[in-house]
Amino acid sequence: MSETDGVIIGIDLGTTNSLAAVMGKDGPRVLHEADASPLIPSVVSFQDGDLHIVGKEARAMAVINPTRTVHSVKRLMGRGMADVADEREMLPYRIEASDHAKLVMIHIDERSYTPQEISALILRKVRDVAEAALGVPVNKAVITVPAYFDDAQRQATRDAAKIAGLAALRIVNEPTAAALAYGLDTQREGTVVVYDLGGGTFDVSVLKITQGVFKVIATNGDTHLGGDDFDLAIMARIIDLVRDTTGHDLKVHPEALQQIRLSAEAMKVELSAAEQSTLEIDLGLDEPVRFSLTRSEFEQMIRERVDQTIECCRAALSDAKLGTTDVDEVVFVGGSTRIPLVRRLIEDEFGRKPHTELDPDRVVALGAAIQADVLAGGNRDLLLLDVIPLSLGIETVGGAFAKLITRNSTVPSRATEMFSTSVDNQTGIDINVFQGERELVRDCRELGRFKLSGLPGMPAGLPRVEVTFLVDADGVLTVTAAEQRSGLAATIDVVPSHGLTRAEVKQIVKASIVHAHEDFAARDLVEVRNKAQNLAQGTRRVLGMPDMPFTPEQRSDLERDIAGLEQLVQGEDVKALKAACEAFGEKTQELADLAIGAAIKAQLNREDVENPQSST
Amino acid sequence: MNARQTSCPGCGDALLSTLACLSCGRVLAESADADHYSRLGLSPEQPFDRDAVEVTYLRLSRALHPDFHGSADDTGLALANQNTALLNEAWNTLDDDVARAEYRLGLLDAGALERHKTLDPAFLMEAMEMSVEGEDADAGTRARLIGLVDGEMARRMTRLAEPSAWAPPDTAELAVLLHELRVYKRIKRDLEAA
Repeated sequence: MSETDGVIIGIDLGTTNSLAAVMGKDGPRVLHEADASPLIPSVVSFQDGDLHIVGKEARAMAVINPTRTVHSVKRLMGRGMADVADEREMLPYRIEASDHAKLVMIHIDERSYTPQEISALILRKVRDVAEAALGVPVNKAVITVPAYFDDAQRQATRDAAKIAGLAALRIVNEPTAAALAYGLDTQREGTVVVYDLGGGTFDVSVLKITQGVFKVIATNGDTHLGGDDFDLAIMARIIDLVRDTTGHDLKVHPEALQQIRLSAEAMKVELSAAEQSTLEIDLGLDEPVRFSLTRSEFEQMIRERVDQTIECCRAALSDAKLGTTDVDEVVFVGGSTRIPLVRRLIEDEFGRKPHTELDPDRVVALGAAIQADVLAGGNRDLLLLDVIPLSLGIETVGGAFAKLITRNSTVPSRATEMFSTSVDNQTGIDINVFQGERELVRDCRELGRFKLSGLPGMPAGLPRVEVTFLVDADGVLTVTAAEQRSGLAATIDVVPSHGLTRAEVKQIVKASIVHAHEDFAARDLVEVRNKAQNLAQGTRRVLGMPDMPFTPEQRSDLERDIAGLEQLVQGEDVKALKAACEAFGEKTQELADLAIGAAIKAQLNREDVENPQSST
Repeated sequence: MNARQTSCPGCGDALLSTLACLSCGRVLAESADADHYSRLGLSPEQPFDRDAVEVTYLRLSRALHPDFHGSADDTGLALANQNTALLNEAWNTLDDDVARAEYRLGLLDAGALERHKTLDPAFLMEAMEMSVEGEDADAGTRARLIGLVDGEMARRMTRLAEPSAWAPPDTAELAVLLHELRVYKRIKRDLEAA
């Protein structure tokens, strides 16, 4: 990698927090602002006048400004309205279906945002922090996603990066990234299970590590299971209690709901260390409402969900054709693995203590940085072989699902299938792409539809249409089709069922580039103004000093220039201001030397006067 | 798409695989007659040594994987993706004994599996009785049946592994063997799922 190529960072774009890491001389390290935690809350808060803030400050706005503060947007990525029906009423901000009902839109004030755009704002913040920490511009990244993300969710993440102006050189699965960091850290080999329970998603991956090859054998998970669900369970209890004791419905008060959400999260965290946690809710009534929760009550509430994660582990091991005794190590990733119940149940299931040495909040970003280093050409010893989590295929007669690429196939992966027409002179074939494990397409996830059109009229069954699926190393699918007899290649633009078309992404990117340009121009103007003001003030100060070796002509000339400069500062013309600054700088260059010499002399003289005792 | 190259157009070294040169790392555009065997530097006739082939698979992965072609242009990256996908397909197909035999038969006689679908009525009767017996059977019975199925599959696999089955090939016999294996595989899956 040459210097001009720039650095490639690893980004963990999380449900709750996001962070960046980079490969250094001594291994990967996380990036952060001075004295700040590297964890940037994945929260965006909108303010008046088209302004927004991201991160810790935005998180603080959740209670004050709940309807305009967006959290957990990752759970909306690549999803339709029906997918998120459960949590809709728990979200303080408004979500609605897009025009074609294919996307969930976030409605703030008079504007609607796609989840991709909100994620892009988070990515930009992460990039800003990375740039500040590294002192160089950053425009390339490896971004992690849950292993169990489907094609639409991966595409959405890629689109978010594009909108943020970042080239996502690779989308890496979170548990795989964690395994990279773990493997590099411990230098151990063997069969490793990565158990990744984060804020919004759960993943389990089974890997074999041998001689620098990290081969994923099987993966399983649930993209809608995580710490957020545990918070929601506690919230529901609190809401019930308040309703039963006071008759108040907190659900209609976004501010209260947000306060309860933060309190529920704090209780959850406290219960990892304490046996009991108590909350006092002040509703401005005579008495605050007291809510107590013991650890064992909390464990009962979440038991079913944790058991679900164990089912996923068993399914992954079964796909890998392995038993728990074949597993050499279990690695914990994600903040929710701090919950004692999770630790206990997983230890029982695998009969061994899971690895917890690596910080579960940072290990994914560190792994992404390692993969970034591989892509940059810095490391050729590591080879990462990942898989697709869910089978890909097409709809056939009667709504049956024909799998072309089965789950846990190593990527890049490809498959071809022959199709023909069913009626004479049929000129087009509809191809509907699905992802899932069930037998019927109605039980699978629709990824998109496309039509191969312009077929020459032929008797039914005669055209031979070869459809090719290619899944790249990011786990993202491209479909191409060609009619073998006529040589007609389809120009396919899959219309994503739960995503943005290429044209839509382009449109958003264009809009944001326009914005970025405006932003840049504004920043530029501020900088040049500062420079001009400094020049003017500095020169005026010098002119005001005693014993300056300037002729009266030089003085009046300089004063005229200062006045001109100050007038331009009032305007908006960056170009003119820049030119004036330059001209002024050149003109004062030779005078500056004289002035500096004189100023030093003057300074020394003054010191002589002020501190007579020091001059001997 | 010309005839298969035997030496690398880049460095001139002899080529092991039709996908890439392992000497200089050059990614190759495949000729039309390339197949899963040529991709892994094998011929259908030689015995399948899983460990040795896996070493070749990983060496080729290191040469081809798009991770190592980050500085390539779009065409180069597309070729790396395409060839890695072909390599993965080749490894997955040949690594599975049944899939390998089906693939090998397909190379010898493309339509053989579709043409020779008629199975022996006695075999079908026996297979049907096994699956009927397996339905709602207790775990012991199912284990016994799985043992029987395993034995039947092993006998056919042994036959498929014999060089005499392929030289000269009786494609009708091979196709029937493979169809029977598919039937047993389905029965076993149902027995295990019950």
